[in-house]
Amino acid sequence: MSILFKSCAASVLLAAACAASAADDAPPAGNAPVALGQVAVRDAVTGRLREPTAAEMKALQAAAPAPQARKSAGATRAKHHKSGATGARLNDSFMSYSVMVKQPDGRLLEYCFGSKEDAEAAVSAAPSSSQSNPAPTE
Amino acid sequence: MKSVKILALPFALAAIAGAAQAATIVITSRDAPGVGFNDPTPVAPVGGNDGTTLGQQRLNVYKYVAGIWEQNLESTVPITVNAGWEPLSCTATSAVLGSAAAWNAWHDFPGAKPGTWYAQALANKIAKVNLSDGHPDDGSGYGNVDIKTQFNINLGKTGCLDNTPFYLGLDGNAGSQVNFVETLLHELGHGLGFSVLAVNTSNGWRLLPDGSDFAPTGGLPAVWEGFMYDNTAGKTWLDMSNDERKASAINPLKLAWKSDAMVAAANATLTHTPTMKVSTPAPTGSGFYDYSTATFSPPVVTGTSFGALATVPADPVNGGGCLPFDSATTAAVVGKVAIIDRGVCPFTQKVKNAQNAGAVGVILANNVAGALVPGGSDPGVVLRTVGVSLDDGARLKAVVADAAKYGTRGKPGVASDVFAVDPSRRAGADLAGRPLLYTPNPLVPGSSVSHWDVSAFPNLLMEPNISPDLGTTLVPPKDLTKTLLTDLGW
Repeated sequence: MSILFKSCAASVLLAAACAASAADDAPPAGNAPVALGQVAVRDAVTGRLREPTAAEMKALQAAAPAPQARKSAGATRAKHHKSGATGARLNDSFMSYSVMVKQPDGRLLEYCFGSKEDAEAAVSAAPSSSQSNPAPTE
Repeated sequence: MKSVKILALPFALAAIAGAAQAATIVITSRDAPGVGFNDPTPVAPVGGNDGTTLGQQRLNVYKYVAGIWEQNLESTVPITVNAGWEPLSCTATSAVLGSAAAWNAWHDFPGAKPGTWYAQALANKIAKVNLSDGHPDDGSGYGNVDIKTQFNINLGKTGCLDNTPFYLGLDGNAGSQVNFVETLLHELGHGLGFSVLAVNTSNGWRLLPDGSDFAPTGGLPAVWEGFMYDNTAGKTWLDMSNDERKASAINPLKLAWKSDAMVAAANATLTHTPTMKVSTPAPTGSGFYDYSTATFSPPVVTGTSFGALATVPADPVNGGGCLPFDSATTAAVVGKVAIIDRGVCPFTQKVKNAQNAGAVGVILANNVAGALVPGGSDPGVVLRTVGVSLDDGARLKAVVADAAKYGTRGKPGVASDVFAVDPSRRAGADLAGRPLLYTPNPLVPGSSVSHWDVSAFPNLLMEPNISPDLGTTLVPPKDLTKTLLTDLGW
């Protein structure tokens, strides 16, 4: 049995353990948050891992976050090519963002930021902050 | 998924002739029916874009920009770009226009530098095969594409950079609208490889071989790193520790792109460095001083006089020049260029006080290391205003003091200043003629390093500030983008 979870942490709710699935040829590594896991629960009486009952599975499914419509917004995914090459599908943290800010005098200034956080900070702080304008004002 | 394949003809012609093959860019859309590229809203043709619906015009810009890149790149493997039009962050006066990135990256493919990360489009070009071909999609429908893009579907509507939509013309006459051609041209540049990509500039860590994260050890360098030469450290990022890369990313005007081809390209593209030429009766102090024009300044024209120099006294409490000038300071600066230290109050306030006192110009001296581009906005400021580094500010104040000794009791000597060019240097390049990368301090994560420095002139496509005076030529003597990509392997 396998269920898509946001992360193994979701199964901790019922003392379950996660294992990476061989079905996914590119399991995320490091602190990547997405995993396709088989599910087991630790029996409260014996302390041993076992398959969940139907009721436990239902509870796990209810507790788990809904699968993301776009998994690509999350972790990177390792890839391999028969030539021996290794690669990765990247994610939104690698994006560059164009931001336009209208100045008090009406001029439009366009900037390129390397993170969503910086881009959104520039938008929310417009028009006079130093974040939105690389040139300091004092 | 809508797929639009454009300019397939070069494939066939190149195959017949055996010549280098121009790249082909394939655009795919993830827009829902009636949205984005599929928006049926009727529109009038504009600036050479003859689409009759909003969706068609958007797609036409993508095709036009893809065509520009195709003319500049060679590859036997089609380059894939996925596009989506989505709501992005906005206010009435600001907006995220869009974003783009290389969506896959590879190392250790045939023809690659060993153990080195490349953006997928470039990796495919070098390997002569689509490395993602046959790989299962990630569920998104675009997991294997070379470049992912998205742009703001609400731009110009109320609450989203009000009344300032994308200009969808192809002629560059964007007027008061947002030139979508330039924005997309720039962002696709990042996706094609104009980005250090595999280094976290906040800590110098590199991307692990499986691409899962940046880490202090075990990561692989990016193909960029062998070209990134730090003039202070005297070596490239390839040979640096994490801490050295971290320091280099915030080493203003010292990190350069090192290649013989780039020096030649910069020599053909960048003008001689605009500078202030100071003359003094004192035996020392005459010479060139770098400056940056304030964003609120009237234009500074090379070859014109700036004026005699005077110093505004430091004021650690209120800030130099922050208060209306007293009689002594007014007497010192009237008819002269006032040198004022940065600090405490806005630049425009200092300049306004100098202006009210009768000064003819202002030099703002940084109070921290590095160059200074004074920013701000005040329509009432009419004085030409420039910023100089902390070191040059100190030198200029010393020049003023020394010059006074070389006059008469009734008429102290003065140092004077004209706007000139330094024939030994190029604007935006180091002393060896290598163009500089953008390394402000503090760091702007992701933006730092992966752009040209803002001191480059004429303005370049891949500077962090996307200027309204850019064209669509990517090669010298107009631009350095193609030269950098060629260095990487394009």
